[in-house]
Amino acid sequence: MSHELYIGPDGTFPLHPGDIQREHPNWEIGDDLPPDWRHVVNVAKPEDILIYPEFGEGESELNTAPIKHTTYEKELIYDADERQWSIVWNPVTYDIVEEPPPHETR
Amino acid sequence: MPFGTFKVALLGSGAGSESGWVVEPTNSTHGDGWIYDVALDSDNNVWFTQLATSNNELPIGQVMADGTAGTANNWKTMDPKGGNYASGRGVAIDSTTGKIYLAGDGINDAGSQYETLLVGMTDGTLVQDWDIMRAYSSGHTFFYQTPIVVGDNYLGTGRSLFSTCYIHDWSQSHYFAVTGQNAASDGAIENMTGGSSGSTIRFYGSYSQSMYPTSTIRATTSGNPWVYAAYRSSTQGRTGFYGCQVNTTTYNRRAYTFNSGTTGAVGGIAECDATYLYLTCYDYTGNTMHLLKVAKSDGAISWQRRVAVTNMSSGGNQYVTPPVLDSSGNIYVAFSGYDTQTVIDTAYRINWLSWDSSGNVRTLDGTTMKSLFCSPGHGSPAYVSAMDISSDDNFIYPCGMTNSPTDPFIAKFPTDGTGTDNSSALSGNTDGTYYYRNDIAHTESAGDMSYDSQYGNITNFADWNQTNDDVNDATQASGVAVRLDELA
Repeated sequence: MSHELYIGPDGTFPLHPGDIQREHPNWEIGDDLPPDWRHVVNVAKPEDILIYPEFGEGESELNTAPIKHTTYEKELIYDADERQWSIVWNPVTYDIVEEPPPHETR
Repeated sequence: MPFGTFKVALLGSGAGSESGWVVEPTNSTHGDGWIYDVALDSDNNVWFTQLATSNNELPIGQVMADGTAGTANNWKTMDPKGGNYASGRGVAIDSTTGKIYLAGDGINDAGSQYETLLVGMTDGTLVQDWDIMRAYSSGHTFFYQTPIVVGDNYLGTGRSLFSTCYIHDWSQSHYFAVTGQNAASDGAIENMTGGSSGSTIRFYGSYSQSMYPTSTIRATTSGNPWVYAAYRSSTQGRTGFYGCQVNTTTYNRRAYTFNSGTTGAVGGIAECDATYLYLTCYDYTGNTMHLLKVAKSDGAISWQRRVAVTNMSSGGNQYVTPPVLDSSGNIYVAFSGYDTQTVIDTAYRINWLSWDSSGNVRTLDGTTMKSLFCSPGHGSPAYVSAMDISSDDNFIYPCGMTNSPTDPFIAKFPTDGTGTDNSSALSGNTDGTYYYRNDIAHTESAGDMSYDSQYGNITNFADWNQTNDDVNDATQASGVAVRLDELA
Protein backbone atom coordinates (compact mmCIF):
# COMPACT_ATOMS: atom_id res chain seq x y z
CA MET A 1 0.00 0.00 0.00
CA SER A 2 1.03 3.59 -0.30
CA HIS A 3 -0.08 6.87 1.21
CA GLU A 4 -0.93 8.76 -1.98
CA LEU A 5 -3.09 11.82 -2.58
CA TYR A 6 -4.48 13.15 -5.84
CA ILE A 7 -6.57 15.96 -7.28
CA GLY A 8 -9.46 14.78 -9.43
CA PRO A 9 -10.35 16.08 -12.88
CA ASP A 10 -12.98 18.38 -11.39
CA GLY A 11 -10.57 19.74 -8.76
CA THR A 12 -11.79 17.52 -5.91
CA PHE A 13 -9.16 17.09 -3.19
CA PRO A 14 -8.15 14.95 -1.40
CA LEU A 15 -8.64 11.82 -3.47
CA HIS A 16 -6.88 8.46 -3.19
CA PRO A 17 -5.84 5.51 -5.37
CA GLY A 18 -9.25 3.86 -4.99
CA ASP A 19 -10.91 7.00 -6.34
CA ILE A 20 -8.89 6.71 -9.54
CA GLN A 21 -9.62 2.98 -9.75
CA ARG A 22 -13.34 3.66 -9.42
CA GLU A 23 -13.19 5.41 -12.78
CA HIS A 24 -10.20 3.53 -14.26
CA PRO A 25 -10.36 -0.03 -12.87
CA ASN A 26 -7.12 -1.19 -14.44
CA TRP A 27 -5.03 1.70 -13.15
CA GLU A 28 -2.40 0.88 -10.50
CA ILE A 29 -0.12 3.02 -8.39
CA GLY A 30 3.00 3.70 -10.48
CA ASP A 31 1.10 3.82 -13.77
CA ASP A 32 0.83 7.12 -15.60
CA LEU A 33 -2.08 9.08 -14.20
CA PRO A 34 -5.26 9.16 -16.27
CA PRO A 35 -5.90 12.47 -18.05
CA ASP A 36 -6.60 15.46 -15.79
CA TRP A 37 -5.66 13.68 -12.55
CA ARG A 38 -2.80 15.31 -10.61
CA HIS A 39 -0.46 13.84 -8.05
CA VAL A 40 0.15 15.65 -4.73
CA VAL A 41 3.40 15.51 -2.79
CA ASN A 42 4.37 16.14 0.85
CA VAL A 43 1.42 14.13 2.13
CA ALA A 44 2.98 13.01 5.43
CA LYS A 45 1.46 14.93 8.31
CA PRO A 46 3.99 16.22 10.86
CA GLU A 47 3.78 14.86 14.38
CA ASP A 48 1.67 16.76 16.88
CA ILE A 49 3.40 18.86 19.51
CA LEU A 50 2.11 18.52 23.06
CA ILE A 51 2.25 21.54 25.37
CA TYR A 52 2.51 20.84 29.09
CA PRO A 53 2.09 23.04 32.15
CA GLU A 54 5.36 23.91 33.81
CA PHE A 55 6.65 20.75 35.42
CA GLY A 56 7.00 20.69 39.20
CA GLU A 57 9.47 18.55 41.07
CA GLY A 58 9.04 14.89 40.18
CA GLU A 59 6.70 15.68 37.31
CA SER A 60 7.27 14.89 33.67
CA GLU A 61 5.28 14.04 30.58
CA LEU A 62 4.90 10.57 32.08
CA ASN A 63 2.63 11.76 34.88
CA THR A 64 1.35 15.12 33.70
CA ALA A 65 -1.47 15.80 31.30
CA PRO A 66 -0.75 18.15 28.39
CA ILE A 67 -2.94 21.24 28.27
CA LYS A 68 -2.70 22.02 24.56
CA HIS A 69 -1.63 20.30 21.42
CA THR A 70 -0.50 21.66 18.12
CA THR A 71 -1.64 19.68 15.14
CA TYR A 72 -1.59 20.46 11.42
CA GLU A 73 -4.27 21.16 8.86
CA LYS A 74 -3.55 20.55 5.23
CA GLU A 75 -3.54 23.28 2.60
CA LEU A 76 -3.16 22.42 -1.05
CA ILE A 77 -0.82 24.66 -3.06
CA TYR A 78 0.76 24.62 -6.46
CA ASP A 79 4.53 24.82 -6.13
CA ALA A 80 5.48 26.78 -9.23
CA ASP A 81 9.20 26.22 -8.70
CA GLU A 82 8.85 22.45 -8.60
CA ARG A 83 5.87 22.50 -10.95
CA GLN A 84 3.88 20.17 -8.76
CA TRP A 85 0.98 20.17 -6.36
CA SER A 86 1.96 19.96 -2.72
CA ILE A 87 0.50 20.14 0.77
CA VAL A 88 1.50 22.81 3.22
CA TRP A 89 0.80 21.69 6.78
CA ASN A 90 -0.40 24.67 8.80
CA PRO A 91 -0.08 24.41 12.58
CA VAL A 92 -3.17 24.96 14.68
CA THR A 93 -3.25 24.72 18.46
CA TYR A 94 -6.18 23.35 20.43
CA ASP A 95 -6.86 23.30 24.15
CA ILE A 96 -7.09 19.78 25.50
CA VAL A 97 -10.34 19.33 27.37
CA GLU A 98 -10.93 16.16 29.34
CA GLU A 99 -14.21 14.45 28.75
CA PRO A 100 -16.05 11.82 30.77
CA PRO A 101 -15.78 8.25 29.55
CA PRO A 102 -18.40 7.12 27.03
CA HIS A 103 -20.17 4.93 29.49
CA GLU A 104 -23.75 5.44 28.47
CA THR A 105 -26.29 4.63 31.13
CA ARG A 106 -29.45 5.83 29.43
CA MET B 1 -33.76 -27.04 3.03
CA PRO B 2 -32.71 -26.66 6.66
CA PHE B 3 -35.57 -26.57 9.14
CA GLY B 4 -34.82 -22.95 10.06
CA THR B 5 -35.22 -21.75 6.50
CA PHE B 6 -38.42 -23.75 6.09
CA LYS B 7 -39.83 -22.30 9.30
CA VAL B 8 -39.20 -18.76 8.19
CA ALA B 9 -40.84 -19.48 4.85
CA LEU B 10 -43.93 -20.70 6.65
CA LEU B 11 -44.09 -18.01 9.26
CA GLY B 12 -42.67 -15.10 7.35
CA SER B 13 -46.10 -13.60 6.70
CA GLY B 14 -47.03 -13.53 10.39
CA ALA B 15 -47.29 -10.37 12.45
CA GLY B 16 -45.00 -8.41 10.17
CA SER B 17 -44.80 -8.78 6.42
CA GLU B 18 -41.63 -9.25 4.43
CA SER B 19 -41.69 -5.55 3.61
CA GLY B 20 -40.03 -4.81 6.94
CA TRP B 21 -40.99 -3.39 10.29
CA VAL B 22 -40.03 -1.34 13.34
CA VAL B 23 -40.49 -3.05 16.70
CA GLU B 24 -40.29 -1.93 20.30
CA PRO B 25 -39.40 -5.05 22.30
CA THR B 26 -40.28 -4.59 25.95
CA ASN B 27 -41.03 -6.48 29.12
CA SER B 28 -41.79 -5.58 32.69
CA THR B 29 -38.49 -7.04 33.95
CA HIS B 30 -36.04 -5.11 31.78
CA GLY B 31 -38.00 -1.94 31.11
CA ASP B 32 -37.21 0.28 28.17
CA GLY B 33 -33.41 0.30 28.07
CA TRP B 34 -31.55 1.19 24.90
CA ILE B 35 -31.01 -1.81 22.59
CA TYR B 36 -27.26 -1.62 22.28
CA ASP B 37 -26.52 -4.56 20.04
CA VAL B 38 -28.24 -7.13 17.86
CA ALA B 39 -27.16 -10.38 16.19
CA LEU B 40 -29.07 -12.55 13.75
CA ASP B 41 -29.21 -16.32 14.04
CA SER B 42 -29.36 -18.71 11.09
CA ASP B 43 -33.14 -18.21 10.80
CA ASN B 44 -32.68 -14.42 10.76
CA ASN B 45 -34.28 -14.11 14.19
CA VAL B 46 -32.91 -11.13 16.08
CA TRP B 47 -31.18 -11.49 19.44
CA PHE B 48 -30.66 -8.26 21.36
CA THR B 49 -29.33 -6.87 24.61
CA GLN B 50 -30.02 -3.62 26.40
CA LEU B 51 -28.38 -0.91 28.45
CA ALA B 52 -29.77 0.40 31.68
CA THR B 53 -32.39 -2.14 32.50
CA SER B 54 -34.76 -1.13 35.26
CA ASN B 55 -33.67 -4.10 37.38
CA ASN B 56 -29.90 -3.63 36.81
CA GLU B 57 -29.46 -7.13 35.46
CA LEU B 58 -28.04 -8.56 32.25
CA PRO B 59 -30.83 -8.79 29.68
CA ILE B 60 -31.23 -10.73 26.47
CA GLY B 61 -34.26 -11.15 24.24
CA GLN B 62 -35.27 -12.52 20.86
CA VAL B 63 -37.52 -11.10 18.16
CA MET B 64 -38.43 -13.52 15.42
CA ALA B 65 -37.90 -12.70 11.76
CA ASP B 66 -41.60 -11.90 11.44
CA GLY B 67 -41.47 -9.37 14.28
CA THR B 68 -43.08 -11.51 16.99
CA ALA B 69 -41.52 -12.41 20.35
CA GLY B 70 -39.27 -15.45 20.59
CA THR B 71 -39.86 -18.28 23.02
CA ALA B 72 -40.07 -17.43 26.72
CA ASN B 73 -36.72 -19.02 27.57
CA ASN B 74 -35.02 -16.64 25.14
CA TRP B 75 -36.21 -13.56 27.05
CA LYS B 76 -34.19 -13.74 30.20
CA THR B 77 -32.43 -11.78 32.84
CA MET B 78 -29.25 -12.60 34.70
CA ASP B 79 -28.13 -11.11 37.99
CA PRO B 80 -24.38 -10.68 38.53
CA LYS B 81 -23.46 -12.10 41.92
CA GLY B 82 -21.50 -9.00 42.76
CA GLY B 83 -24.30 -6.54 43.23
CA ASN B 84 -26.95 -4.27 41.91
CA TYR B 85 -25.54 -3.12 38.62
CA ALA B 86 -25.47 -4.69 35.19
CA SER B 87 -25.91 -3.56 31.64
CA GLY B 88 -25.89 -5.40 28.33
CA ARG B 89 -23.31 -4.30 25.77
CA GLY B 90 -23.05 -6.85 23.03
CA VAL B 91 -24.42 -10.06 21.62
CA ALA B 92 -22.85 -12.48 19.15
CA ILE B 93 -23.89 -15.77 17.60
CA ASP B 94 -21.55 -18.49 16.42
CA SER B 95 -22.64 -19.31 12.90
CA THR B 96 -21.08 -22.78 13.17
CA THR B 97 -22.84 -23.88 16.37
CA GLY B 98 -25.77 -21.52 16.87
CA LYS B 99 -24.56 -20.71 20.39
CA ILE B 100 -25.38 -17.24 21.70
CA TYR B 101 -22.96 -15.03 23.62
CA LEU B 102 -23.72 -11.98 25.70
CA ALA B 103 -21.30 -9.33 26.95
CA GLY B 104 -22.04 -6.77 29.61
CA ASP B 105 -20.92 -4.84 32.63
CA GLY B 106 -21.42 -5.71 36.28
CA ILE B 107 -19.99 -4.81 39.64
CA ASN B 108 -17.74 -6.82 41.90
CA ASP B 109 -18.61 -8.57 45.15
CA ALA B 110 -17.49 -5.59 47.19
CA GLY B 111 -19.76 -3.35 45.16
CA SER B 112 -16.85 -1.06 44.47
CA GLN B 113 -15.40 -1.96 41.09
CA TYR B 114 -16.99 -2.36 37.70
CA GLU B 115 -16.20 -5.55 35.82
CA THR B 116 -16.95 -7.14 32.46
CA LEU B 117 -19.07 -10.24 32.04
CA LEU B 118 -19.33 -12.84 29.30
CA VAL B 119 -22.15 -15.39 29.14
CA GLY B 120 -22.59 -18.37 26.82
CA MET B 121 -26.05 -19.79 26.22
CA THR B 122 -28.15 -22.09 24.04
CA ASP B 123 -31.22 -21.20 22.00
CA GLY B 124 -34.35 -22.25 23.92
CA THR B 125 -32.55 -23.16 27.15
CA LEU B 126 -33.18 -20.89 30.13
CA VAL B 127 -30.09 -21.31 32.30
CA GLN B 128 -26.87 -20.14 30.71
CA ASP B 129 -24.20 -22.65 29.69
CA TRP B 130 -21.41 -20.71 31.37
CA ASP B 131 -20.46 -17.25 32.54
CA ILE B 132 -17.27 -15.51 33.53
CA MET B 133 -16.20 -12.16 34.93
CA ARG B 134 -13.03 -10.35 33.89
CA ALA B 135 -11.65 -7.50 35.97
CA TYR B 136 -8.54 -5.38 36.33
CA SER B 137 -6.68 -5.56 39.61
CA SER B 138 -6.96 -1.85 40.36
CA GLY B 139 -9.47 -0.15 38.15
CA HIS B 140 -12.94 -0.20 36.68
CA THR B 141 -13.46 -2.31 33.57
CA PHE B 142 -16.19 -1.62 31.05
CA PHE B 143 -17.28 -3.12 27.81
CA TYR B 144 -18.35 -0.67 25.19
CA GLN B 145 -20.12 -0.85 21.87
CA THR B 146 -20.45 -4.13 19.92
CA PRO B 147 -17.67 -5.69 21.89
CA ILE B 148 -17.62 -9.39 21.01
CA VAL B 149 -17.19 -11.58 18.00
CA VAL B 150 -16.81 -15.34 17.53
CA GLY B 151 -14.15 -16.82 15.31
CA ASP B 152 -11.56 -19.53 14.95
CA ASN B 153 -8.75 -19.72 17.43
CA TYR B 154 -5.32 -19.34 15.92
CA LEU B 155 -4.89 -23.04 15.34
CA GLY B 156 -8.25 -23.40 13.65
CA THR B 157 -9.02 -26.18 16.11
CA GLY B 158 -11.78 -24.45 18.03
CA ARG B 159 -13.90 -21.37 18.35
CA SER B 160 -13.07 -18.39 20.50
CA LEU B 161 -14.73 -15.22 21.70
CA PHE B 162 -12.77 -12.04 21.04
CA SER B 163 -13.86 -9.11 23.17
CA THR B 164 -12.69 -5.59 23.86
CA CYS B 165 -13.19 -3.42 26.91
CA TYR B 166 -11.75 -0.26 28.36
CA ILE B 167 -10.09 -0.17 31.74
CA HIS B 168 -9.27 2.68 34.08
CA ASP B 169 -5.65 3.13 35.13
CA TRP B 170 -5.46 5.45 38.14
CA SER B 171 -1.72 5.92 37.79
CA GLN B 172 -2.09 7.30 34.27
CA SER B 173 -5.45 8.99 34.82
CA HIS B 174 -6.81 7.42 31.69
CA TYR B 175 -8.72 4.49 30.26
CA PHE B 176 -6.89 2.05 28.06
CA ALA B 177 -8.29 -0.54 25.66
CA VAL B 178 -7.86 -4.29 26.09
CA THR B 179 -8.75 -6.96 23.56
CA GLY B 180 -8.73 -10.56 24.77
CA GLN B 181 -9.82 -14.07 23.98
CA ASN B 182 -11.98 -16.72 25.68
CA ALA B 183 -12.96 -20.23 24.61
CA ALA B 184 -16.42 -20.22 23.08
CA SER B 185 -17.14 -23.67 24.53
CA ASP B 186 -16.79 -22.79 28.22
CA GLY B 187 -15.43 -19.26 28.56
CA ALA B 188 -11.97 -20.43 29.58
CA ILE B 189 -9.37 -17.69 29.41
CA GLU B 190 -7.07 -18.01 26.41
CA ASN B 191 -3.85 -16.37 25.34
CA MET B 192 -4.34 -14.09 22.39
CA THR B 193 -0.96 -12.48 21.94
CA GLY B 194 1.32 -15.46 22.34
CA GLY B 195 2.09 -14.72 25.97
CA SER B 196 0.81 -16.48 29.08
CA SER B 197 -1.76 -15.97 31.84
CA GLY B 198 -4.45 -14.84 29.43
CA SER B 199 -2.32 -12.43 27.48
CA THR B 200 -4.22 -9.69 25.70
CA ILE B 201 -3.58 -6.54 23.70
CA ARG B 202 -3.23 -3.34 25.70
CA PHE B 203 -3.65 -0.19 23.59
CA TYR B 204 -3.16 3.10 25.41
CA GLY B 205 -2.56 6.81 24.99
CA SER B 206 -0.52 9.42 26.79
CA TYR B 207 -1.07 10.50 30.38
CA SER B 208 -4.72 11.48 30.88
CA GLN B 209 -5.63 10.49 27.32
CA SER B 210 -8.13 7.63 27.09
CA MET B 211 -8.55 5.19 24.24
CA TYR B 212 -12.15 4.03 23.80
CA PRO B 213 -12.44 0.82 21.77
CA THR B 214 -15.35 -0.60 19.84
CA SER B 215 -16.21 -3.08 17.13
CA THR B 216 -13.91 -6.07 17.58
CA ILE B 217 -13.51 -8.20 14.46
CA ARG B 218 -11.71 -11.46 13.72
CA ALA B 219 -10.33 -11.41 10.20
CA THR B 220 -11.84 -14.29 8.28
CA THR B 221 -9.40 -14.31 5.41
CA SER B 222 -7.52 -17.57 5.45
CA GLY B 223 -3.88 -17.28 6.33
CA ASN B 224 -4.47 -13.89 7.92
CA PRO B 225 -5.47 -14.64 11.53
CA TRP B 226 -5.68 -11.11 12.89
CA VAL B 227 -8.00 -9.55 15.43
CA TYR B 228 -8.73 -5.85 15.10
CA ALA B 229 -10.71 -3.28 17.04
CA ALA B 230 -11.61 0.31 16.24
CA TYR B 231 -11.00 3.15 18.67
CA ARG B 232 -11.13 6.84 19.26
CA SER B 233 -8.99 8.93 21.56
CA SER B 234 -10.53 11.15 24.22
CA THR B 235 -8.23 14.03 23.27
CA GLN B 236 -6.24 15.08 20.21
CA GLY B 237 -8.90 13.81 17.82
CA ARG B 238 -7.74 10.42 16.61
CA THR B 239 -9.87 7.56 15.33
CA GLY B 240 -8.54 4.37 13.83
CA PHE B 241 -7.87 0.72 14.43
CA TYR B 242 -5.42 -1.53 16.22
CA GLY B 243 -4.89 -5.27 16.30
CA CYS B 244 -2.57 -8.22 16.50
CA GLN B 245 -1.86 -11.39 14.62
CA VAL B 246 -3.43 -14.00 16.87
CA ASN B 247 -1.01 -15.85 19.11
CA THR B 248 1.85 -13.51 18.29
CA THR B 249 3.14 -10.17 19.48
CA THR B 250 2.95 -8.76 15.97
CA TYR B 251 0.87 -5.62 16.42
CA ASN B 252 -0.43 -2.84 14.25
CA ARG B 253 -2.25 0.42 14.96
CA ARG B 254 -3.26 3.24 12.63
CA ALA B 255 -4.80 6.64 13.27
CA TYR B 256 -6.76 9.18 11.25
CA THR B 257 -7.66 12.80 11.94
CA PHE B 258 -10.59 14.93 10.95
CA ASN B 259 -9.98 17.82 8.58
CA SER B 260 -10.90 20.35 11.25
CA GLY B 261 -11.56 20.01 14.92
CA THR B 262 -10.58 17.30 17.31
CA THR B 263 -13.78 15.68 18.50
CA GLY B 264 -15.75 12.88 17.00
CA ALA B 265 -17.12 9.40 17.43
CA VAL B 266 -15.94 6.12 15.99
CA GLY B 267 -18.48 3.68 14.57
CA GLY B 268 -16.37 0.64 13.93
CA ILE B 269 -14.65 -1.55 11.39
CA ALA B 270 -15.47 -4.40 9.04
CA GLU B 271 -13.21 -6.58 6.96
CA CYS B 272 -13.31 -5.80 3.26
CA ASP B 273 -10.86 -8.47 2.06
CA ALA B 274 -7.36 -9.73 2.76
CA THR B 275 -5.93 -6.27 2.20
CA TYR B 276 -8.45 -3.71 3.41
CA LEU B 277 -10.76 -2.73 6.26
CA TYR B 278 -13.69 -0.34 6.27
CA LEU B 279 -13.84 2.23 9.07
CA THR B 280 -16.73 4.50 10.06
CA CYS B 281 -16.63 7.60 12.24
CA TYR B 282 -18.39 10.90 12.85
CA ASP B 283 -16.85 14.38 12.86
CA TYR B 284 -18.48 16.54 15.55
CA THR B 285 -17.02 19.76 14.12
CA GLY B 286 -17.89 19.23 10.48
CA ASN B 287 -21.10 17.38 11.39
CA THR B 288 -20.32 14.70 8.85
CA MET B 289 -20.37 10.90 8.83
CA HIS B 290 -17.28 9.27 7.28
CA LEU B 291 -16.64 5.90 5.65
CA LEU B 292 -13.04 5.00 4.78
CA LYS B 293 -11.48 2.05 2.99
CA VAL B 294 -8.04 1.60 4.54
CA ALA B 295 -5.16 -0.83 4.14
CA LYS B 296 -4.62 -3.22 7.03
CA SER B 297 -0.86 -3.17 6.58
CA ASP B 298 0.00 0.54 6.69
CA GLY B 299 -3.32 2.31 7.09
CA ALA B 300 -3.20 3.94 3.64
CA ILE B 301 -6.56 5.30 2.55
CA SER B 302 -7.85 3.71 -0.66
CA TRP B 303 -10.95 5.92 -0.80
CA GLN B 304 -13.15 7.77 1.65
CA ARG B 305 -16.69 9.14 1.53
CA ARG B 306 -18.61 11.50 3.77
CA VAL B 307 -22.27 12.32 4.31
CA ALA B 308 -23.50 15.72 5.47
CA VAL B 309 -27.15 15.95 6.50
CA THR B 310 -28.49 19.46 5.91
CA ASN B 311 -28.83 21.50 9.11
CA MET B 312 -27.32 18.80 11.26
CA SER B 313 -26.71 20.17 14.74
CA SER B 314 -23.34 19.87 16.35
CA GLY B 315 -23.04 18.39 19.76
CA GLY B 316 -21.89 14.96 20.72
CA ASN B 317 -24.97 12.83 20.53
CA GLN B 318 -24.28 11.53 17.04
CA TYR B 319 -23.68 7.83 16.67
CA VAL B 320 -22.61 5.74 13.70
CA THR B 321 -22.72 1.97 13.35
CA PRO B 322 -19.85 -0.23 12.29
CA PRO B 323 -20.06 -0.91 8.54
CA VAL B 324 -22.11 -3.96 7.55
CA LEU B 325 -21.41 -5.87 4.32
CA ASP B 326 -23.61 -8.04 2.15
CA SER B 327 -22.39 -11.02 0.14
CA SER B 328 -21.81 -8.81 -2.93
CA GLY B 329 -19.51 -6.51 -1.01
CA ASN B 330 -21.98 -3.64 -0.71
CA ILE B 331 -21.55 -1.60 2.46
CA TYR B 332 -24.35 -0.36 4.74
CA VAL B 333 -23.91 2.30 7.43
CA ALA B 334 -26.49 3.86 9.74
CA PHE B 335 -25.98 6.97 11.83
CA SER B 336 -28.08 9.19 14.04
CA GLY B 337 -28.13 12.89 14.82
CA TYR B 338 -30.37 15.90 15.29
CA ASP B 339 -31.19 17.88 12.16
CA THR B 340 -33.43 20.92 12.12
CA GLN B 341 -34.95 20.36 8.71
CA THR B 342 -38.68 20.63 9.19
CA VAL B 343 -39.68 17.36 7.62
CA ILE B 344 -42.70 16.53 9.78
CA ASP B 345 -40.54 17.75 12.65
CA THR B 346 -37.02 18.72 13.54
CA ALA B 347 -35.74 15.42 14.81
CA TYR B 348 -33.06 13.02 15.84
CA ARG B 349 -33.18 10.76 12.81
CA ILE B 350 -31.67 7.35 12.16
CA ASN B 351 -30.30 7.61 8.61
CA TRP B 352 -28.75 4.88 6.48
CA LEU B 353 -26.95 4.69 3.15
CA SER B 354 -25.20 2.03 1.10
CA TRP B 355 -22.10 2.06 -1.10
CA ASP B 356 -20.75 -0.47 -3.55
CA SER B 357 -17.29 -1.89 -2.98
CA SER B 358 -15.74 0.83 -5.16
CA GLY B 359 -17.18 3.58 -2.98
CA ASN B 360 -20.08 4.62 -5.22
CA VAL B 361 -23.09 5.58 -3.14
CA ARG B 362 -26.00 3.42 -4.24
CA THR B 363 -29.30 4.84 -5.38
CA LEU B 364 -31.91 2.49 -3.93
CA ASP B 365 -35.55 2.84 -4.91
CA GLY B 366 -34.75 6.28 -6.28
CA THR B 367 -32.85 7.88 -3.41
CA THR B 368 -29.55 7.51 -1.57
CA MET B 369 -30.57 7.96 2.09
CA LYS B 370 -33.46 6.59 4.13
CA SER B 371 -34.45 8.00 7.53
CA LEU B 372 -36.44 6.73 10.50
CA PHE B 373 -37.65 9.07 13.20
CA CYS B 374 -40.41 9.75 15.69
CA SER B 375 -42.57 12.81 15.96
CA PRO B 376 -43.14 14.79 18.08
CA GLY B 377 -39.58 14.07 19.17
CA HIS B 378 -38.13 17.55 18.55
CA GLY B 379 -34.75 17.65 20.26
CA SER B 380 -35.12 14.53 22.36
CA PRO B 381 -32.27 12.18 21.53
CA ALA B 382 -32.62 9.01 19.52
CA TYR B 383 -29.66 6.77 18.86
CA VAL B 384 -28.53 3.99 16.61
CA SER B 385 -25.62 1.89 17.83
CA ALA B 386 -25.39 -1.35 15.85
CA MET B 387 -26.74 -3.14 12.81
CA ASP B 388 -26.79 -6.60 11.28
CA ILE B 389 -27.81 -7.99 7.89
CA SER B 390 -29.93 -11.03 7.04
CA SER B 391 -28.30 -14.09 5.53
CA ASP B 392 -30.17 -13.54 2.24
CA ASP B 393 -28.93 -9.91 2.09
CA ASN B 394 -32.54 -8.70 1.87
CA PHE B 395 -32.77 -6.77 5.16
CA ILE B 396 -30.65 -4.69 7.50
CA TYR B 397 -31.51 -4.51 11.20
CA PRO B 398 -30.37 -1.31 12.96
CA CYS B 399 -31.11 -0.97 16.67
CA GLY B 400 -31.00 1.67 19.36
CA MET B 401 -33.24 3.94 21.30
CA THR B 402 -35.89 6.31 20.08
CA ASN B 403 -37.86 9.12 21.67
CA SER B 404 -41.40 10.39 22.11
CA PRO B 405 -41.65 8.37 24.30
CA THR B 406 -38.26 6.82 25.03
CA ASP B 407 -38.31 3.25 23.75
CA PRO B 408 -35.88 0.60 22.59
CA PHE B 409 -36.24 -0.22 18.92
CA ILE B 410 -35.10 -2.65 16.26
CA ALA B 411 -35.90 -1.94 12.61
CA LYS B 412 -35.98 -4.32 9.66
CA PHE B 413 -35.35 -2.33 6.48
CA PRO B 414 -35.30 -3.80 2.96
CA THR B 415 -31.82 -3.40 1.50
CA ASP B 416 -33.33 -2.52 -1.88
CA GLY B 417 -34.48 0.75 -0.32
CA THR B 418 -38.21 0.08 -0.54
CA GLY B 419 -40.62 0.64 2.32
CA THR B 420 -40.37 4.42 2.68
CA ASP B 421 -43.48 6.57 2.73
CA ASN B 422 -43.21 10.36 2.49
CA SER B 423 -46.93 10.92 2.93
CA SER B 424 -47.83 9.23 6.18
CA ALA B 425 -46.57 7.68 9.40
CA LEU B 426 -46.13 3.95 9.86
CA SER B 427 -49.11 2.10 11.24
CA GLY B 428 -49.19 -0.47 13.99
CA ASN B 429 -49.18 -0.61 17.77
CA THR B 430 -45.85 0.99 18.75
CA ASP B 431 -45.74 3.69 21.42
CA GLY B 432 -44.14 6.18 19.06
CA THR B 433 -45.37 7.68 15.81
CA TYR B 434 -42.68 6.54 13.39
CA TYR B 435 -41.87 7.92 9.97
CA TYR B 436 -39.66 6.12 7.43
CA ARG B 437 -38.86 8.51 4.62
CA ASN B 438 -36.41 9.18 1.81
CA ASP B 439 -36.56 12.97 1.58
CA ILE B 440 -34.15 14.21 4.24
CA ALA B 441 -31.75 16.57 2.48
CA HIS B 442 -28.11 15.57 2.49
CA THR B 443 -24.97 15.49 0.40
CA GLU B 444 -22.61 12.58 -0.23
CA SER B 445 -19.09 13.32 -1.47
CA ALA B 446 -15.42 12.46 -1.19
CA GLY B 447 -14.20 12.56 2.40
CA ASP B 448 -11.52 14.88 3.77
CA MET B 449 -9.93 12.97 6.65
CA SER B 450 -6.18 12.44 6.82
CA TYR B 451 -4.04 9.44 7.64
CA ASP B 452 -2.05 10.38 10.72
CA SER B 453 0.41 7.84 12.05
CA GLN B 454 0.96 4.73 14.12
CA TYR B 455 -0.58 6.58 17.02
CA GLY B 456 -0.67 5.42 20.64
CA ASN B 457 1.08 2.52 22.32
CA ILE B 458 0.39 -1.17 22.05
CA THR B 459 1.76 -3.99 24.22
CA ASN B 460 1.06 -7.37 25.68
CA PHE B 461 -1.08 -7.30 28.88
CA ALA B 462 -1.91 -10.10 31.30
CA ASP B 463 -3.66 -8.41 34.21
CA TRP B 464 -7.24 -8.92 33.13
CA ASN B 465 -8.17 -11.47 35.76
CA GLN B 466 -10.98 -13.93 35.37
CA THR B 467 -13.52 -15.41 37.78
CA ASN B 468 -15.78 -18.20 36.61
CA ASP B 469 -19.49 -18.55 37.44
CA ASP B 470 -20.03 -14.95 38.55
CA VAL B 471 -23.62 -14.60 37.34
CA ASN B 472 -26.70 -16.18 38.94
CA ASP B 473 -28.79 -18.55 36.87
CA ALA B 474 -31.01 -16.85 34.33
CA THR B 475 -34.70 -16.39 34.95
CA GLN B 476 -37.45 -15.67 32.45
CA ALA B 477 -38.43 -12.07 31.87
CA SER B 478 -42.08 -11.29 32.51
CA GLY B 479 -44.59 -9.27 30.58
CA VAL B 480 -42.86 -9.78 27.22
CA ALA B 481 -44.33 -7.77 24.37
CA VAL B 482 -43.14 -6.72 20.93
CA ARG B 483 -44.99 -3.68 19.60
CA LEU B 484 -44.75 -3.49 15.82
CA ASP B 485 -45.29 -1.01 12.98
CA GLU B 486 -45.11 -2.32 9.45
CA LEU B 487 -43.30 -0.48 6.70
CA ALA B 488 -45.21 0.69 3.71
